[in-house]
Amino acid sequence: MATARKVYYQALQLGDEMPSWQCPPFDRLQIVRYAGASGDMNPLYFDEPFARAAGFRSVLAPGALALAALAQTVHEWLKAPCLRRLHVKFLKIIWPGEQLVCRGRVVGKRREGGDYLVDLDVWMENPEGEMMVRGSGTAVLFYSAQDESQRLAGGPPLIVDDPAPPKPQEPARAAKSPGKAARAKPDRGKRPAPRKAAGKRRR
Amino acid sequence: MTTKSKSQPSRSAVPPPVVRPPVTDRSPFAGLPIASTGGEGPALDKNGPAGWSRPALNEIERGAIRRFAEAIGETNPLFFDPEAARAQGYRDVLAPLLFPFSLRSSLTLKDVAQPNRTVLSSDQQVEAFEPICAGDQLLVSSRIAELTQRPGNTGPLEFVVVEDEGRTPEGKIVFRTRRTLIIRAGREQPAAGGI
Repeated sequence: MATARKVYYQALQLGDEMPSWQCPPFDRLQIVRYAGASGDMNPLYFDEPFARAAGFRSVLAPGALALAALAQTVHEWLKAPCLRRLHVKFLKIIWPGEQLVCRGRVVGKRREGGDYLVDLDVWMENPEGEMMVRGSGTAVLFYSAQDESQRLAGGPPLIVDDPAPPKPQEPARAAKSPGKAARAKPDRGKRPAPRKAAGKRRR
Repeated sequence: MTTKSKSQPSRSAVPPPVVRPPVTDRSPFAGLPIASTGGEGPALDKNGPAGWSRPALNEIERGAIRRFAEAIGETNPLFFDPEAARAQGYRDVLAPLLFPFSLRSSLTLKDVAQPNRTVLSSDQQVEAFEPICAGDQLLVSSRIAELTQRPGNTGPLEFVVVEDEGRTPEGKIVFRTRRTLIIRAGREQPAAGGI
């Protein structure tokens, strides 16, 4: 069963990178479908003359499609629709047909009662490495396969306190949600030349 | 604001005999009920108290979930197949995390922005407390959490933070969303679809 391949809380470490995903570019058809399905009839999504008259080069993609792509990437990675919160800021307008890559990484792990929560930084960048959208999410996971089977059988959650942090130089981060400063810098190393995004702040 | 006057040469001598419909009526969406599942009573006035709008009843349908999931490119059978969803312990097909953005509230963008203004989103957040499944009934209310004006390149910009929340008929919180809209308050567009 698919659940066997689930990613468990136990297995995730701070700093773990989500496998990046090049999502299919949002085309005009998908944009219109989203507008119709969501009822968000903003003419900037489908009315080219309106968009041009307003000073845009074409219609633009609803930001919710970016959230959806990020949510899908996370769910594909963790093998369950486990996101409980997703917050994204739109840094640049997304035009139809743009190539975008979804990325993310683990920035926090915590237990709240019987819920094992994983905080993620998520972002989307274009081929030039510019950050287009950026945000954060929180996923709820089972602690382990044992926790999952125990709960699916109607039992209580497995309560395990966070083990010691993996790296000795980051002692305080495992227990609580990381502070803003800790979450505000995703991987500098792996991203190719985040020129314009380098100076951006989260809030 | 200027483009329109070009197309209408000024004939100030005689007032037109017939009252023309307001500009918004050119919109193909004008007159369509936005909060079609809403109850009675007035929507929230944005200048009114910063309370929540009256709850609008949304009946969650499989077809709506399927169309929404298709539109955002989902392929997970949990969103399409009732059997697959039940096998995972859900009551019926599950709604995607972003599905609350498609629900109707009695507070609409028409209450927030004047007609024919361009509206952009600057950020969007969704928080799910309970899974939403087909067959559920949700009461959705909204409020304007913040309203600020700032100068922009093309005139004043309004930043409007809209919060929605959905509850079960018993009052249990199911989701919360928060969006920041940027509205070009000073610039009316010549032609528009709806909001």
